[in-house]
Amino acid sequence: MKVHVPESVDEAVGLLGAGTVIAGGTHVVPRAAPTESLVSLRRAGLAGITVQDRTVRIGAATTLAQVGREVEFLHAAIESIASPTIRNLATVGGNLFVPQPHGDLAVCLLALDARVSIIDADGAREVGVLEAEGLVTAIRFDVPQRWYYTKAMRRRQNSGSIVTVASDGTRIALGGVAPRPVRATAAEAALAEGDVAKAAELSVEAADPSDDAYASAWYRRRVLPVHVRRALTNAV
Amino acid sequence: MPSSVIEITVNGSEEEFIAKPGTTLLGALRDTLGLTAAKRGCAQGGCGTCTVLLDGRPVMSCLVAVETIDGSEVQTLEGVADGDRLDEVQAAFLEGFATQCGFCTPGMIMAAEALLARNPDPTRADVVEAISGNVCRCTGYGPIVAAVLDAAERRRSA
Repeated sequence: MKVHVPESVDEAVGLLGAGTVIAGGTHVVPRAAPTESLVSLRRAGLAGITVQDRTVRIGAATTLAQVGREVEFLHAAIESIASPTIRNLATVGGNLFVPQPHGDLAVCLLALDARVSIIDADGAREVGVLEAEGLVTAIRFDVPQRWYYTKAMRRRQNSGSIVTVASDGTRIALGGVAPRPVRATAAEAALAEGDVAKAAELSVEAADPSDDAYASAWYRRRVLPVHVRRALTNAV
Repeated sequence: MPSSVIEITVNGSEEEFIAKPGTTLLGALRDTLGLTAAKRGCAQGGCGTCTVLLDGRPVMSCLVAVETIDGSEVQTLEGVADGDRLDEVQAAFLEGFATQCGFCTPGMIMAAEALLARNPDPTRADVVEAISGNVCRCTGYGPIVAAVLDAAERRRSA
């Protein structure tokens, strides 16, 4: 085992394949096998947020805490994720890869149709949230005109998702109800016609939930429409 | 396994030591530096008793690979008191019987220190949020929240 701490993106790219890429390490560090090498992005210069007009660009190694402080419309979503002590470590890039029912920011980014900058052996390019692989360097999205977010949890704070709903009023993304964040396309079509009740009902078509310690698959499917309806009628 | 030489400042004192690959900050504090206030509870970021301040911000030290924070500044519970004189948070915990078994206390106090450094006049909701990553299995949350609010008041009127 070795922990690589590259000091630049170029150096990090050269280390792809030399170990599991981590940034905050909140998911990988406690699970790393004694023989598993790590490539930490903490010093690779990938942290920081810039806003130009309405476009927000967030470096992959930016902590969730910083996003919560600086990107106002995402404040409630960030506060719904884990605890302050985790949010001071966990990063935007890492959130794309944590397994559900975690990764609520990834659900938001999916609803925002965020573009993810990645680098691998084939060079740098932009992909969608669900296509991210290799080394994520940054994420960009436009601040939406409207924003809807709700997360059903067992507790008010620091709990995995039962159902997470994020929407900009056009796209609807769901968390907690499938192995990865999903777009509820049938529900989006109903929403485009202004039918919130039908959108809520059709959101179930995108769900493929599992049982876990937070809720059963049955329960998640049962309450999903309720939370979609609540989310879409409670704009921030 | 190539070990690394790590230099970090802990409670104001510069420390240099050799760490095996994958050593966590918690492991380095407890096993190398002999600072055993931060506890090893769940070792997966779920309980918060290993909470320390890393460059001023509260983090779970069991999740931090120490090789990634070379050159950083760390504050632990050992650095809170001034000699034998407890600080306001420690005094409020002691006098408010906010400790019970005491296993969560180091993390609770460091989370509270971080909150009060940033927000000297927190609401009850602010305190609850600040310690939301810290589990007390004695379920003594009531006295703990009261102690943090009491500490804030002591510090404001000091």
